[in-house]
Amino acid sequence: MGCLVGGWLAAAALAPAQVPAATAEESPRGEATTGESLSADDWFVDSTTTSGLDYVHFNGMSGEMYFSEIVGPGVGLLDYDGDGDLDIFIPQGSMLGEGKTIDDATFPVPQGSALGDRLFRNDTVIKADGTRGVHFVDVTLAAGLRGLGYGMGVAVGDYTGNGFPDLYVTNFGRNDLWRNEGDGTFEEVAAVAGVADDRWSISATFFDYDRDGHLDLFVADYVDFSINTHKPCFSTSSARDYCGPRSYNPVPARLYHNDGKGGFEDVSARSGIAAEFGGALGVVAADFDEDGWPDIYVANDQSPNQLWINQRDGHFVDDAFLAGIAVNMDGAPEASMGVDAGDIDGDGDEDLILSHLNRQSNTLYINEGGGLFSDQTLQAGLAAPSFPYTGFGAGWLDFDSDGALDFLVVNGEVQVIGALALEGDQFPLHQQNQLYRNLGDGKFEEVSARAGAAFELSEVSRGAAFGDVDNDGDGDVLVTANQGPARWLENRYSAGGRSWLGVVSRSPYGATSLGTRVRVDRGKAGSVWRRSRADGSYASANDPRILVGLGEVEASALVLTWPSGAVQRFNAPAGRNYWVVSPR
Amino acid sequence: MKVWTPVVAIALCLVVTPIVWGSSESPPAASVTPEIPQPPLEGLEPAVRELLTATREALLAAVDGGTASTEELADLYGHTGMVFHAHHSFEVAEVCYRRASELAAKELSWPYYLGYLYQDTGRFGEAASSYRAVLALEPEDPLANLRLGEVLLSLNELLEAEPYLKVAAGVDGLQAASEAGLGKIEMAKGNLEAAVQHYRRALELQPDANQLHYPLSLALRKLDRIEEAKAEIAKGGKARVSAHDRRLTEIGTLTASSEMFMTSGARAIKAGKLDSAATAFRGAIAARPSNARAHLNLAVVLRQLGDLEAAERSARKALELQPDYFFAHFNLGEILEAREDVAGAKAEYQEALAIDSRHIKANERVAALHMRAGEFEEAAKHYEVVVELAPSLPTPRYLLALAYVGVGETQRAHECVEEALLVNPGDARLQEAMVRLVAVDSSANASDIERALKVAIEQQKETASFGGAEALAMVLAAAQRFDEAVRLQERLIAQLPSSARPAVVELMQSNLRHYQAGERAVIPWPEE
Repeated sequence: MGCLVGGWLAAAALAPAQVPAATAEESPRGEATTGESLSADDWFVDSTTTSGLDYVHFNGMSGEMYFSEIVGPGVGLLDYDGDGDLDIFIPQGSMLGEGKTIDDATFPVPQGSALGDRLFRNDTVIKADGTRGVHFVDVTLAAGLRGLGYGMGVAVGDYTGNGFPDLYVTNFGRNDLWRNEGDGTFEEVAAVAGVADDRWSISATFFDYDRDGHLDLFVADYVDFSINTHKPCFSTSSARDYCGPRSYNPVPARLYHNDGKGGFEDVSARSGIAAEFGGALGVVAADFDEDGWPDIYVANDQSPNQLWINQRDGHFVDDAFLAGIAVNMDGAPEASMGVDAGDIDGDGDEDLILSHLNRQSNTLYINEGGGLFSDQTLQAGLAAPSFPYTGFGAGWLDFDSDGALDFLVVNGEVQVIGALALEGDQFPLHQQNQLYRNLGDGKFEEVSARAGAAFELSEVSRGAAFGDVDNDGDGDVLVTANQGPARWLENRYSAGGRSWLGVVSRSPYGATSLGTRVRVDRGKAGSVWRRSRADGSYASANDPRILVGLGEVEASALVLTWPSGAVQRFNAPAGRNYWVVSPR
Repeated sequence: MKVWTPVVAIALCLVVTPIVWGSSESPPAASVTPEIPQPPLEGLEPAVRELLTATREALLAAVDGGTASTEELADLYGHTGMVFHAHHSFEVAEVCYRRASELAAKELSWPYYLGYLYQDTGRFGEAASSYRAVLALEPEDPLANLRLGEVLLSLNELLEAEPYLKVAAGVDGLQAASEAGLGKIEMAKGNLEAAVQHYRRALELQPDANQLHYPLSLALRKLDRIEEAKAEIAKGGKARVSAHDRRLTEIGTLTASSEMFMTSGARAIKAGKLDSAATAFRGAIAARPSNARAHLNLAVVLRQLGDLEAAERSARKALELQPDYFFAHFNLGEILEAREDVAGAKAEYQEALAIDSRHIKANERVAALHMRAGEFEEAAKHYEVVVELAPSLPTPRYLLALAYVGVGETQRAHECVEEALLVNPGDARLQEAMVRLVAVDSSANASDIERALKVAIEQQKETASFGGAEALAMVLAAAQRFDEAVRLQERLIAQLPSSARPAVVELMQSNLRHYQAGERAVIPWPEE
């Protein structure tokens, strides 16, 4: 454990000793997958099978081409049992269509798999040689999670303030709120808590918009598609294909205010956020205009995006057009799916990245200060490589621990790919995922070809959650695929060679404090800004801990700005540790 | 290069063998003949399947026949590429264009189409090579200059892109798109004034390309001309800048797909060309008679054109093909409503709601019919659904309040309006409703009445409406300022036009009697 530095009220390293020493099961389960061949040069290794992560998504398709069957699932990272490592929650699909049974499914349920959302406990062990053995155990039933809806995504946050993260599961159908009881089990309380939104929801985020210390909830609702309003759609060639969002009407998002007593009030209308909407797929809450209050950025499918600026009185005003982030630089709305906010240019404000439909390119918006953005996609070199792909899960990730945020996007089409159909592919939507390295001069370089065998796989990827799954100080990625397996892409880039600093910001009552801003000073190497967040990406929940790659230097100071606005400074925190900090 | 159509292509296939090629030139060596992939035809409309099969077979027959000249083969490959391109079968089209380019090294069209195919599928490097091949043959080819400029822009090769766009900017039909591209380059270079000029020029050339107001606004914002930027944002829309590309137009004529007709129908509607839209949807029906959406779209267009009888027929045809078609029920409901068949309309809306009970517009329509029939309780049920689904819209809340009044739940109506005002505080109709409901609410306290009075007076200052004045009289009475209420009411009654509805006249006179008797009004709106 690192030494306590003057000014720290509570500071402790997440020592390896906190990781349980015993595992329930050592032998890997599940079928061997193609991404696991390991080369010494691989930056990411598909460690799914060796970790025992055994999940295959079931989309319930039966040839009807229901719109909802190709949209999920996301994935959530959370430390549900408070043991210091990240567990995994993944929503699951079910059979779609009235009267349809599993026997009607185009692709059968994988042998041995149970339907319903899944929770995997991380039982990491430290081996004798000091390496970490990550092992996941399916604890869904023991945890009392009986989510049988048609799962889409998940948001994670401790809305009760009991120190344990809760789950809000978005569904094609009524959403679930799983309250973490703190004893390894969950209780479904959506209706009681007033958040049983029955629209088709995709992404959601917990954040404290009124800074009262209780996490509120924003739910990104999509369109008014239902099985009953399903309509046939056709490609240009006249073949049946999946419908796009314009075949249905968008529905407004919802904002729920946490009453601090375990319940929520729907303030969508009163707050103003229901006034404009466009079929939301992604959402991220951050302080974009740097006034100390969290705003909301909503990524819409084929409609202008919204930037809801917090008016500090319970109201929000959409300022996306003037901010330069409603539509692309030609003035055209794009099919925004995934979104993430982070400071990629080291100037202390939140920049945005969005993943889009093929032939649109992903989009990078650089915050020029005060919440005014500039589309720098072309200049950053991010346009051309993304043009052939349809991106979903997307996020900033400093995979090489050099202090600059890189970009990872997972891809998968939403309409039939002709070349695959030509080959007789039964589910011709799959594509490869992509990794881009931040070159530090405003430009990015696509490095997928060097990232490892996992990036050679072609799947219908949807969710991506970013976090340090093996607690080794670098960012790993959990990727989910529609009608495909969940994969843990283990980061092996630095392999212990680069320094890093982790920060776990805790509220006074022990919950992870979402929205805490951290500045890490690195001497001549400059400062790095990060934010404690679980949202972003697509229908997924990220590691809420803050992880800063230090490269070849050490941190000279750490400055925290709490959601309340309070600021704390700590000198020379030792690297290679997760520091747990609480407000004074 | 000849101009081909689907008919020509099909005719060609009907005489597949033997095809007698007119030239004595030898065909290319068999060793370089590419394999033409067989696209999956399952699920395609018969007309499309027939066209693609015939086109491909004609090509194969010509290649195998060995009698076609190089030029003829090039044309055949190229046109096969175009037919497949038109149906988004890019893989087949690519093979064909490439071969056509090889066979006819001096023909501009094939590398151009190949370039566009690459550009359209995000293969910018290959697109640039193809366009450069065109320009190597004809440096002044305007379309290739424009497209190469666009592609280089996508590759962030700004300086390289600029001269090509400048060439295209001098050509009629391509100017607006070129100016927009040049604006983008200047934006990227940070030359904001120059960017503003290019965008303004593009808008002058193509005023309906209202998407361009947005990049223009961004340039103005960066110049700190915020108010100008906001003004441009307000003018923004969905129409993009376009270039007149005769080559692409030609591809568009080759389609046999019902879906392509559907797309052009939708575009025609957007452009307000209803006759063209009807023609397109009829084309879609001809291509695939079982296309229920085409029948329904035609119905919608016919309704807009005023031919309600044909519209009804077309909507019923859509339902015959797809009985559980929500939108067909809904639109047929609207058509029947327009034909004043209220019972029929209500039945169709109910059918639609049986399929999707939470559809906003269907609930609104059926609620409106209930209101017209005085069935307020039923109306309220549907408006409640609408309010739940669209909480920020003022009109449904207003109408829900009216429905509550209809069933005698004035207090509930008042709560509904107050809730609506939280969301839409500036909505004049809601404000007037609030005033009226406070005025008739015997349990309203002094501060409620004072607030209502203030709102009513403010409203009258801003927009002196008859209804607002009537509401003001009502709340004056509620505030026990009966003399003022009587004077105002008498003045209003004197101003009532002879065409005023009897229910309005009756309510106004009844209210006047109340005020004269020192009583407040008891009914917020006329009964009807």
